[in-house]
Amino acid sequence: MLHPTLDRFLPVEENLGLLKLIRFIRDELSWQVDVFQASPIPQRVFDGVRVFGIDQDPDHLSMFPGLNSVFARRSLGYDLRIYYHWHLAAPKVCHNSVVVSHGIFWDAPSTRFNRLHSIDRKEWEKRLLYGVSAPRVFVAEDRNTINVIKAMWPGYEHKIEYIPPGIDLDAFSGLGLRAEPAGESDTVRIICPQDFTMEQGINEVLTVAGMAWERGANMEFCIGGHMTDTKQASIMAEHISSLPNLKLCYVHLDSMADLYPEFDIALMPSRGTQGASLYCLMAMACGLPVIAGFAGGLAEHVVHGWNGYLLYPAVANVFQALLELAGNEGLRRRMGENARKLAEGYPESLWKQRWTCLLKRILAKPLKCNAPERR
Amino acid sequence: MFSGADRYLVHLCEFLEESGYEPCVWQVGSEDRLVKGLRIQGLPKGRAEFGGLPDLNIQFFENTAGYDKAIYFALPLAFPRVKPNSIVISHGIGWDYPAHTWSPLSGPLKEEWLRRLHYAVTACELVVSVDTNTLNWLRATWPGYEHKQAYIPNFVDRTEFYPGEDKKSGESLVVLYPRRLTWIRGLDDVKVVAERLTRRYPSLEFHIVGRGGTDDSEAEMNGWAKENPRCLYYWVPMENMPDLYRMADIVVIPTRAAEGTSLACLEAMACGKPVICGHVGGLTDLVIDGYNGILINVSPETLEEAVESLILHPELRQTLGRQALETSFQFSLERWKERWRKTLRSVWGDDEM
Repeated sequence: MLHPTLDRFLPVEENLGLLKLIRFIRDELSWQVDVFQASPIPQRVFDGVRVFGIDQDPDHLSMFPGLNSVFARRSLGYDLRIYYHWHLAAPKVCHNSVVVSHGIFWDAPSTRFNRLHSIDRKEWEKRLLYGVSAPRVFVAEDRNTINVIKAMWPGYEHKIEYIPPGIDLDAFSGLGLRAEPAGESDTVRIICPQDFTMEQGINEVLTVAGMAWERGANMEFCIGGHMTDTKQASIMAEHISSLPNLKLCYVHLDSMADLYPEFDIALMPSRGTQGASLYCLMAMACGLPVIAGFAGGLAEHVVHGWNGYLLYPAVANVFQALLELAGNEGLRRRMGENARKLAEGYPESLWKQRWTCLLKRILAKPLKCNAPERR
Repeated sequence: MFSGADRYLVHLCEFLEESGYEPCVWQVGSEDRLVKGLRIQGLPKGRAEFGGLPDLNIQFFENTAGYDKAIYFALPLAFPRVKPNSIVISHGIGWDYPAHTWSPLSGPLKEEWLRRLHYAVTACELVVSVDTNTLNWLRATWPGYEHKQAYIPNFVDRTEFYPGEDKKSGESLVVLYPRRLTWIRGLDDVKVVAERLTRRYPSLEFHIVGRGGTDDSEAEMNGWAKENPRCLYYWVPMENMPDLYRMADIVVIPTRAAEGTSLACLEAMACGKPVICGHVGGLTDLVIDGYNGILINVSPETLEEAVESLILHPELRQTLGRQALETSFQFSLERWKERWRKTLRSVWGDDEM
């Protein structure tokens, strides 16, 4: 959640969801929440929550067996544990545990998992299966994950609970608030929410922005996101500064609802490693049509031609979609209205209700026959 | 019904009924029946694969959509699909000998057998094991699932199995083998020892009591008994077994493999008899060598030595028997029910009972 050594929150998509869940459990369920993460700093406080550091590095499979083992010992006195990433579950989940998946993260050829030796890959898959089968419940935020699990390991469906993200539909509501939506001849503003990975299409974004500039298209691009690596961030900043129609916008995590209404289109040309996308839902809730790559959970939110474009995110396809959408204010408005309608199916209240039911259900039947004594 | 598994099933169903559930047994069969008030639904067997019945499993799943709870009575029955909130019971490691179908396998075939076993162990809500041997094997093979495993050892009904009166002096010393006629239960070792010791001790009797798998096996045993004085072979209905235990002086359970927490062993202990057991499976959960019985690495020589030591030392027989009786209190039917009660409460919830 926090940077391992610097005292700051890492506002990547996954952590936004984590912070939201923590705040909900603490403030609305009134339960005590502590966070354990990889860090050499033994203890910090963020947003009123204790963050304990466990100084363990990932292994060659990008998993954290050392962190997991230490956590297993240190968390014995807790009533319930949430492993907030699939890779954190192995080798041991404690009793009364939930594992949360944020989407299939190995569906792009460029990921390191596609380059694992067959022996390592078998081990890695074994651990993934453990993450599904060992906890009380495996929470999937998108249906793509559920389908992949069913195809890889049939018979575990009953262990999976589908809890997609929820959006505060009052806060994220751009319709009618934008003072001047872009007309036919005005500059069309495009937001590209990103975690700056190639799998999320950062290079496609940079390329289409360059193409738009070269062709004199009336488009402005803004990459909304945060890079954790300062060296990479400065390289990116330099690249971005070379394009007059492209800028970086960083918004505080509690002000994200103010960001999207400023724009006309959301661009998310993901190739893979995509879950249910909070960014996509935020954009849609604010009435933005979305141009999305056919990846992960994006296909659940975007219905091609209805509330956006769902496409193979080759640069040519993305640029064509942008030209069509940018050049047709009526199309943007219709798709934006539909995007809002779809987003209304993901209210925050339903997300809270699902999490409340799940957590209380687990605590109501705590598998005491094997549970250690509470301290 | 003679096997331990059969008796376990009957007691489990009785317990479930007492607890307010309406159990229905689904098994291989061509018709639906009512047996002693218990509903039994027949399902086609389908193919047997890797020690399991996947077609039966699927039929069970499809036919029980209206049931909200399930207990799979053995690990192999739980593949390829379990119902939500299901419990699977393991009655012990059944493959711990070289002649087992799957033991000598290697490579992809064994992997597939293990894959199915892994599913059975991990997909259900809880594995209930009758012995710690199975749990230890599971933990060594697939570490990390301990929180989904529970130990509920087998039981003895102490209202039926209890000590009798002391035997009068001068009566024959009786060694009882109360098992089915299989080599895996140590029958061949018992026969060798019976022949030797009955020749050595004129007042010694060996009673081999149990059904064979086939008429041939029983006929063979009858023939063997005729040729060996004071070696008797017969079988009795289950309700007569307590009297047999009470009549015996020594009970041998020389299992070589594939054993849980043997009901026969517990019944003998509850009747205050010293037991001689193979140190396999769940028998080591019941017997502490030299305290309440004798544990051996089964062979004719070790069995002979153990039986002879009890023949020659009546005070040892009495001590082991008394301590066996005390041990058996912890495996009473009441304790077994209480363990199951707690287990069901934790898996299926308080409001169900």
